[in-house]
Amino acid sequence: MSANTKDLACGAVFTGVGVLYGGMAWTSLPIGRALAMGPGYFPALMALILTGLGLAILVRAFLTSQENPFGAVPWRAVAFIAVAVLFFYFCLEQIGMFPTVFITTLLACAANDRFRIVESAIAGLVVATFCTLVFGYLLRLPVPLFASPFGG
Amino acid sequence: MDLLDNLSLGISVAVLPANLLYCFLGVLLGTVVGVLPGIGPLATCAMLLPLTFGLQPTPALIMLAGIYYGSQYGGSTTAILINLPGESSSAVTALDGYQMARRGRAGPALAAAALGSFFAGTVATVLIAVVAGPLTAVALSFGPAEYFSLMVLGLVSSVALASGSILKATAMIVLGLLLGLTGTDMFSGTPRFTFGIVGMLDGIDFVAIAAGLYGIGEILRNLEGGDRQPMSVTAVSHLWPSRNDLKRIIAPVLRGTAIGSLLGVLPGGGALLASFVAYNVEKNVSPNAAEFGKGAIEGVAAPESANNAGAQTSFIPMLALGIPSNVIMALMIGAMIMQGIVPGPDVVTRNPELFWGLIASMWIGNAFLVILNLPLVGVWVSLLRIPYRFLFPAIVVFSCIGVYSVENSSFAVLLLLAAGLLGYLLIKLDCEPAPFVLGFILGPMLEEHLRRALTLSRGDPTVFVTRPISLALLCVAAAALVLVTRPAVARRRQEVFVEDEA
Repeated sequence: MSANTKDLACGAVFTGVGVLYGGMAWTSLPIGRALAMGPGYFPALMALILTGLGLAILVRAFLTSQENPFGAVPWRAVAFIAVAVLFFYFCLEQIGMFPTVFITTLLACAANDRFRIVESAIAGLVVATFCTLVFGYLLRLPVPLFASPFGG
Repeated sequence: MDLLDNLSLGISVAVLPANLLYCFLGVLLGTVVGVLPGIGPLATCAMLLPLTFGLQPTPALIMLAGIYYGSQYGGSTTAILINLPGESSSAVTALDGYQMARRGRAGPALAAAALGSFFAGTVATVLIAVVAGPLTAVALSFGPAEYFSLMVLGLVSSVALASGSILKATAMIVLGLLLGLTGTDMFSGTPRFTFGIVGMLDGIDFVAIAAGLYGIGEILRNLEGGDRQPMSVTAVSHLWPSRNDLKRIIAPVLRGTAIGSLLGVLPGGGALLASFVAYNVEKNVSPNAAEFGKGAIEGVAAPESANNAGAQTSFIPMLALGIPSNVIMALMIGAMIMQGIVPGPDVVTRNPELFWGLIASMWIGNAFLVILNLPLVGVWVSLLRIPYRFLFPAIVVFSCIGVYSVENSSFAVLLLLAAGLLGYLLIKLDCEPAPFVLGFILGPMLEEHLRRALTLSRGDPTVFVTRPISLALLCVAAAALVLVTRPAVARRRQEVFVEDEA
C-alpha cells in the first residue's frame, strides 16, 4: 500500500504529541471552567486541536497516492553534531572555555565525511582563541577559561 | 509638531557617540555573519545576542536591530554573488542578481540592491515614526479581548503566508502554542509540562529554540549534500550602475518600497513575503518583463527594496503593541524583556528615548550599510571563499556559547540540541519552522489574554464578538482563512512560493 511517508510520519508526530500533552493536562492539571480557567484548560484545548490536526494529516496521507520518501539522513553528521553539543554541555564549566571550544570544534568538524585532522585542529585553535578573547576577556562571560576537572 | 519633536529626540539619542558606535558595530557584525552562506538573520541574531547583554537597553536594542538589517543585507550580497541565499527573503534576489553577476554585472546588481534598500529604509523609518505613535494610542485602549483577537489574526495570517500545506502549518502553530506553555502557570503557580526538570520551570528558553531550529537544524540539512566545494565567486568590477540602469530601477524601487512597507506590518509577513510579492508584481508590470530571470536589474531592485522596507516596518507592531509579527521580532521582544523592558504600548511613554532612538538609529544604520557595502564589497567577496566545512563547526560553537550566556545555564545547551534535532525532523517532514516559533512565543500571551478576557466578562465567550475592534480583527482572520483555502487562491499561493526552490 502506498501512502505519503512524510505526511504519515508528520501526522503521527502531531497526534502523538497531542495525545501525550492532552493526557498530561487532563490527568495532572486542574482544568477548571471557562469563567475560572485552571492551568489545564488552555493546554487541554490546544492538545485536542493538535490531535485533531494530526489525525487529519494521517488520513490525508493515506488518501494521496504520492510516495514522497524521506531521502537520505546524514547520520554521521547528526551523531557528531549531537556529541559535540553534549560535550560542550558537560565540559564547559568543568574544564573551561578554551579546551571545551577546541574539542567541540574538532567533534563538529568530524560531522563532515571528509574529516581531516590537521586542518580541523587548526580550525579548532582559531575558534577557541577567538572565543576566549571575545567571550572571555572582552565580554567577561562568567566561565573559567581553563580549569581542572579535579578542582586543582 | 509632535512628530518632529519626537524624531529630533530620536536623532539626538541615536547620534550619541556610544549609540553611533553600537549601531555601526551591529551593522558591521550583522553584515559579516550574514554574508556567510547558510546563516540567516535569525541564526545571526541568536548567535550575536550575547554581545548586547552588557549594554544599556537603548544601545543594546540599537545594536541588535543593526545586526538584523545588517545580516539581511549581507544575505543579499551572498545571493547575488554565489546564488546561495543565506535566507529565504533573498531567494528571489538570487534569481536575477546571480544572472547579472554571471554576465559581469555584479557591481550594478549590488549597487541597485544597496540604493534600493537605503531608499526603502528611509521611507520605512519615516513611516514607523508616523504610524507607531497613533497606533500606540489606539493600543492603549485595547483590553484582553482585543489582544486575544489580534494574536489570533496574527497566527492565522502566518498560516496563510507560510509555504506548503495549510494543515501542517496550523498544526505547527498549535504545537508551538503547546510547547510555549512549558513552565510555571502564572495564575496558579502550577508547573506545567516540565517533566520534572527544574531548568524548565521558567519555560523553554526562546533563544535556544531559535538557535536550534535555525542554526543546528539548518546545518544538518546542509550536510545532507556532503561536503560542498566553495562555489566560484564572481569578481566584482565597476560598481556604479549606468545612467540607464538608474532610470530602470526608479519605478521598481518605489513599488517595492510600497509593497514591502505594507506587507511588513502584517503579522507573519515581514521581509520574506514582501520580496516574493514585489518580484512577482514587477514581473507583471515591467516593460522589460522578458528579461526577468535572465539578469534584469529590476528583479534585484524591487525585491531588495521590498525586503528592507518590510524588515523595518515589521518593527511597528512590535514597538506599538508588543506583539511580534515574525520570528525576528519575537527575538527582539525576548531581548527587550531580558533588558527589563516590558514590550507594549507603554514603551513609548515610559522609554521615549529608547523608542524614538531605535527608530532614528535604523535610518542611520541604513546609511552605514551603504557606506559599508559598496566600497568594502571586496572584503565580503573574500569572506564568501571560506569553505562550509570550517563554517559549520564555528556556528555550532557560537550557538552553544550564545544560548549558554543568556542565563549562564548549561541546561539551555541541551535545549539547543533538542531544538536542533526537532528542527531537522520538521524540515525532513516538510514543515516550516516559522509558524512554530510564532506560536511558541505567542502561546503564553494568548492564554493569558484569553483567561483575562473571560474573567472580565464573567465567563461570557461572546465578549470576543461584542467588542467592535475584537470582532473586526476576528472577521479579518476568518476572511483570510476562507481566502487561502479557496482552490484558486491555493493554486496561486503555490505558484508564488515555487520560485523559492527554483
